[in-house]
Amino acid sequence: MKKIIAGKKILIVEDEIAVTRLLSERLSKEGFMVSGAKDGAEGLKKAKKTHPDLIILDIIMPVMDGLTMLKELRKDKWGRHSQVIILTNLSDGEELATAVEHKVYDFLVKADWKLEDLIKKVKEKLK
Amino acid sequence: MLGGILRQKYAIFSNILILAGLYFVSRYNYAIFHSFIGIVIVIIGTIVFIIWNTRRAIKDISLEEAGAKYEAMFASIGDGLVITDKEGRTTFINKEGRRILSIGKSKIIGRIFSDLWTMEDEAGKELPYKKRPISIALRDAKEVKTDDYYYVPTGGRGKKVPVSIAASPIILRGKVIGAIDVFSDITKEKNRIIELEKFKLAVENTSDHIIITDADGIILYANKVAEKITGYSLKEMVGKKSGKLWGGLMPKEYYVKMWDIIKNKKQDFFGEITNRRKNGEKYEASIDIAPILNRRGEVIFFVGLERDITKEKSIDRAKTEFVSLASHQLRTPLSAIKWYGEMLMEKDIQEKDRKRYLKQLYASNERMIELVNSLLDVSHIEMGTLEVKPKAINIIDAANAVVTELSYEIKEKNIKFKEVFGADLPKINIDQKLIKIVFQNLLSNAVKYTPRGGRIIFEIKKNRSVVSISVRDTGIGIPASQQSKVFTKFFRADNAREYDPNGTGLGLYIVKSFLEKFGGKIWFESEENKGTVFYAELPSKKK
Repeated sequence: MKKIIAGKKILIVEDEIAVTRLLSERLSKEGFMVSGAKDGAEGLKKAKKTHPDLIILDIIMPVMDGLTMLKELRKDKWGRHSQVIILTNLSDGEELATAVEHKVYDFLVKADWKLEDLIKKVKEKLK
Repeated sequence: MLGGILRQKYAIFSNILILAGLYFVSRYNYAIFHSFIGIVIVIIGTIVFIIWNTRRAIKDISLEEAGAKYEAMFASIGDGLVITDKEGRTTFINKEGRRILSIGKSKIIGRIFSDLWTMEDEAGKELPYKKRPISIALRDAKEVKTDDYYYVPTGGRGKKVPVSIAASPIILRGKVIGAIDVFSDITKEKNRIIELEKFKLAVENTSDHIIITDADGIILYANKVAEKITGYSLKEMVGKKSGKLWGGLMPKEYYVKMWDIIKNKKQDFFGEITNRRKNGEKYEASIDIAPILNRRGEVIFFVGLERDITKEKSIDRAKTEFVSLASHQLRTPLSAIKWYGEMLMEKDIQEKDRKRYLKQLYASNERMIELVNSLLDVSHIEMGTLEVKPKAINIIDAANAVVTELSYEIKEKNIKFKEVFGADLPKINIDQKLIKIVFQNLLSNAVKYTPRGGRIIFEIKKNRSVVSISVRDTGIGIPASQQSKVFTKFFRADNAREYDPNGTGLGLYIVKSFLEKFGGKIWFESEENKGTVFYAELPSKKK
């Protein structure tokens, strides 16, 4: 398993430093190469530059929110097909609909997910 | 000549003849010729007398007959009828007339009608004699019609009756010889009109928008509120369809369903709708359309009721938004606590990691407490249940207490903190707990957003009838483009979020709400990367 994972790049776009720190620590332990961005604008820039295998995206963030970043990302030649998991605390239908509209089918509500299950989900996604 | 006398003075003439005849008989009773002439004269006189009397009797019978005929005829018409002679004396009144005026025949015949009944208008003002219909008919030989007056019996007899009157002159050979007054009791109609006026007033003055349309939806009537809500005048609405004026914004299916219910099923339609005012502004309304059916069950009208619920809807949306944002804000520290807890429970955890995780968990929990407190404050503010217990206090004491609480952070960040408190500050009537929250928010913001080695000046002074407070820092400032949103709940400026991700966006909203509750106000000046000054004013008037 580790072999498959090794070298896969994950970008965490999240304004909550505690969450970014925790996730990157946990995912690094699994063998992923993890980097972070603290808002949508920074996330978009990093994503376009480093082409991560998976983007874990929050929605409510300063400067540029997650859904705006997603829309911008889908306009990019590479970004059109990039893998995205939305990990947020919002659970409104409207945001979910926007996500699906932009080909994101993993819309996870933070407080509903165990860290362990979240890691499993990420691994599955990158198989 | 003789014919004329004969025609007009039968009685006198016949009597003179008889007397003259008798004179001849007594004067010349021995002269046969003369007494014969006397007897002939007496006979002629008697014959004339008999003829005259008979004619008079026949005439009387025919008059009586005519009266009976009139009576029968006028009884069959439902109106009251009075005939007067040229002086206004009543010569005839029919049964209905006696009923309406509740009077017997004998009491009225031969009397001046206007002496028995005066006329008054709605307000009880008497119509002068000269202007009454009978007077006008007699004087000017004119026909007069009116529905505006009451017959009021003089001398306090009976009750006043609203009447519809038509008076016309009776003209014989170009001369007015009397008048006919036809009148009907319109008490029922009057009451109906009064009832109708009541309904009209109610419809006019209700707070809902009401329109009445024909079966095709063409507007026949709209009340004042309809004019106010839609912005169209009654004139602009009548004859048009509402769909062409303010409607048509909903999906087609909405209207199809609505028409099916009201026109085919003939039931009431209830719903919510978005319409557009004349000025282009959209509004939301709850609507209720009822079809009005005739006896055959066909729709003759629609009555549409609308209530503008734009404000309610926006409050509703704000509440939903608040709940959604509040739950989002609460979930953030909660998920951090949850995941750190999970990591702490892992078997192969190292001691240094355990400490780190615990520290994070603790910090997240602290944030959670702060957030819940703020949310409670906000909820009290919004629901209007904020408890304010004013007491005469020295606000310098409250200010010092807060500064002491923050002294550790001030020292740690090496911030030069200066207090400038006026010496002549009066005690003010204020809630101590709430004013402390105001100071805490203003000062902790200044400390939080001022880089190491910066400066903060905290000033409280008396300024005429107010106490002025200011907190001046050399912090990161508020971007000009976001300054208008600073007091909005949950709002955090981009640079503030970047500088310190932990924050609720509720502090300044709470401060502003509290100050306004005290009768005070707050404003600020700020420049990005230079600093911010928050100014607050509190009324110092002692109660």
